[in-house]
Amino acid sequence: MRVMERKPLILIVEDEKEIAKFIDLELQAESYETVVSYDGVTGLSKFRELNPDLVVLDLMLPVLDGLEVARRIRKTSNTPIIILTAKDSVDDKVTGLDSGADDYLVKPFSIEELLARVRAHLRRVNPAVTGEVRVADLVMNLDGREVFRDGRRIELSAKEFELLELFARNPGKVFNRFEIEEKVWPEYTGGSNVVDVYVGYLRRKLEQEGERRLIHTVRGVGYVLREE
Amino acid sequence: MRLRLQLTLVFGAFIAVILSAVAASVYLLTERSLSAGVADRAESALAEITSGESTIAEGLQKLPSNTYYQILIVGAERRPETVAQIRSGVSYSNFSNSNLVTTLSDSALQTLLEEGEVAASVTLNDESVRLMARLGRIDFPAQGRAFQAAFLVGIPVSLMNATLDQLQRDLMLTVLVAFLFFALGVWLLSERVLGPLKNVTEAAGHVSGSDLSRRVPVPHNRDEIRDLAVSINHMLDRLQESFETQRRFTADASHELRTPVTAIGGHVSYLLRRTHPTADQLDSLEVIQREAERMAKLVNDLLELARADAGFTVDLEPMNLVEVAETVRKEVAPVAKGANVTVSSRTPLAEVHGDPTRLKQVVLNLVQNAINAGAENVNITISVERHQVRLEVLDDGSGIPPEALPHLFDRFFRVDGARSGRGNGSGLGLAIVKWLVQQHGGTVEVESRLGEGSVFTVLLPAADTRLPGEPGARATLVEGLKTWTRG
Repeated sequence: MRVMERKPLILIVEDEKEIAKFIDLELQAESYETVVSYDGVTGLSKFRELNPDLVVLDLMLPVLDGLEVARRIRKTSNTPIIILTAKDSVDDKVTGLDSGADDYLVKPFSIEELLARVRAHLRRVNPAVTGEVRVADLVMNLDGREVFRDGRRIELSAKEFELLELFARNPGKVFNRFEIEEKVWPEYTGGSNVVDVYVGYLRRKLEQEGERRLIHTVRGVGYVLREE
Repeated sequence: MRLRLQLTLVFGAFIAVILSAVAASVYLLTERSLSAGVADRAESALAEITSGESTIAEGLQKLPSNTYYQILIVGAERRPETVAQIRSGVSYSNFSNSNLVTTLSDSALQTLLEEGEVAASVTLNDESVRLMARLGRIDFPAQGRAFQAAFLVGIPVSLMNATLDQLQRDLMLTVLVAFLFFALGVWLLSERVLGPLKNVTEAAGHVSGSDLSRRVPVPHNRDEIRDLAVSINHMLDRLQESFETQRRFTADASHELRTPVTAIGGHVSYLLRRTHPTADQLDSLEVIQREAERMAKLVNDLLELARADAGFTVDLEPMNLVEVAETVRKEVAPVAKGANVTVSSRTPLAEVHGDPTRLKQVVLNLVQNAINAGAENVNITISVERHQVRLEVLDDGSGIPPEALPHLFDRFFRVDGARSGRGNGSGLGLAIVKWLVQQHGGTVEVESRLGEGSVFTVLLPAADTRLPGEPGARATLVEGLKTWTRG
C-alpha cells in the first residue's frame, strides 16, 4: 500500500485518444496522478512498473485486449480495475467481472459517474475514509450509495439501500415490521407485506454467491442484521 | 370451399357420371340380348315342334317354364287363307295350355297368313307376354295324315323383367360402391398431397419477425410439395440473412457511434465543469452537450431495438413497480421543464416479475413522452388488481390526434411529423416501451383527446396472482427466489 499522503496514481488504458484525453484531464482536475497508455501490452508493463492505485481499462484494445489485461493484473494484484466498454449485454458484463474487474461502465458514460466510482474503489482499498459502514464482509459506502460484499459490488435499488442502511447502522438491533415501514416507507400506512418482500430481495442479492446470511428473521418480532 | 372437398366432389361426380353411363348401356344391352335370347328360344322351339308330331313334346320342353303355348289345327290339306279360318281352328289340347290366339289382333293374324309367321306383344291374364306365331304342318305318320296348324308361343315378359330388375339393382349398387370407394380414394390421396402443403402453410405462418430462424418441414418424397418447401426455405434463408445483416449493421453502427459520442460528451463536460467559458461560449457548449446527450440516447435506443430484433429476452426477477415509479419521478424532476410529476399508489408494493432497469426505462420513456408533449402535470398511478398490475401515465399535454394513434408505437414515428419538432425524443421511445412491455408478458395501450391530454396504460402480470395471506403464496415466491438464485 502506498503512503496515503501521496496523490493516488491512476493508470488509464484506452486506445481512443480523445476519450483517454478527457478522462486524463478530469482525473488530474480531481488531483489524481495519471498515466495513460494506448494498448494492452504497454498498459500491462506500465502497471508492473508503476504499481498504480487504480486502473481504468478499456475492453477493446489493440495487441492485448482488456479482458486479458485484467486477468493478468489480477494474478498478482488486488488493485481495483474499472472497465470501460461500448458493449453492454449481460454476457459482456459477466465476462468482464469474471476476468477480475471490480466495476463496469458502459459508453457513453457520464464523467461524474466514473469519478464517483473511482472515489468509491479508492476508499475501498483505504478503509480509513469515513462515510462507510462495515458489518462482517459487507461494506456500505454511504456517499457513493454503493454496497460491496467480499469485494463484489452489489446493485441495490434506492429502497433496498435505505433498508440495508437501517440494518447496517444498527447491527444486532432487532427491528419490527412496523418500525421498518415507518422509517423506510413513511409515505404509506401499513397493511402490506412490503418489508418481508424487501428483506427477501436483499437476502437474494446479498447471498447470490452463496454467502452466509446476514439479515435474520426473529420469529414473532421482526428482523436483525448480525454476523452469526 | 376447401381444395380437398372440391377435388373429392368434382372427381366423385365425374366418376359417378361415367359409371352411370356404363351401367345404363350394360342395362340396355342386356335387355336387348335377353329379349333376343327369349325370341331365339321360342324360335328354336317352334322350329322343332313344326317338324312333326313326334318332336312336339321335346320342342315344348325346350321352352322356359311359365311359357304359354297353343297349337291350333286350322285345316286338313291346304294352308288357311282367311283370318277367320285361323280363329275357328281347333286347339290341339294335348299341346296347349292357353288360348293364345284370342289375344292376337286381326292385323297380326293377317301378317301370319301372308308371311307365315308373326311376333307381337300381347296381354294375357294381366301379364305382358311376348307372343310368336308360325304356320306349319303336323304330320301324324301313324295315321298317314298331316294337318295344317298354327303354332303359338307366348313368353311372359316378367321373366325377363325379373332378370333385368336384378341387374338394375346390382348395377346401381356397383355404381354407388364404386363412387364411394373412388371418393374416399380421392379424399385420402388429396390428404397426402395437401397435408404436406398444410404443414408448409402452418410453418410459414409461424415465421414471425422475431423468429425468422424457423424453417418449413421438407417432405421426403421428391415431389412438387418438396420443391415448394425447399424454395420457401431458400427464401427464408435470404430473408433472415438480410434481416440479420441489417440488424448487425444497426448494432455495429451504434457501437461505433458510442466512442465518438462519449468523447464529445466527455470533452464538453470537461469544458463546462473545469474551465470558465464566457456567456456566449457557455450557450454554445450547452448546445453541444445537449445534442451529445440526445445522440447518446438515440444510439442506446437503436441498440435496444437491434437487440429486440435479435430476439433478445429480458431476465425476470420479482421486483416492485412502485419503487420504479418513485425512482423515475426523482430522476425526472430536475429535468422536467417545470412539469409536475407525481406518483399515486395505495400500497408501497406492486410486485411484478421484471427487469428493474428495463421497466424503469418503460416508465421513464412514458413520462418523458408526456413532458415532451407539453404536459404540466404527469401522474403515474399504480394499482394492484387480481392478476395484474396496472400502471397508468396520465398527462395534460397536447394530446395525440386520432389518426396518429395507430402509428404511435412505430419506430421513428413522431406525432407532429417534423424531425426538428418539440422535445428531444428520438422517435424510438414508445417503440421500445412496446417491445419491453411485451417482453414482460404485458400490454400497453393509449387513450388520448387532442388538446386535453393522454393516458398510457401498461398492464403487467402480477408476480403472485394468489391473494396475500394464503400460505402457498409465499412459499411459491420463496421457491421462485431459490430458483432464481441458483440460476
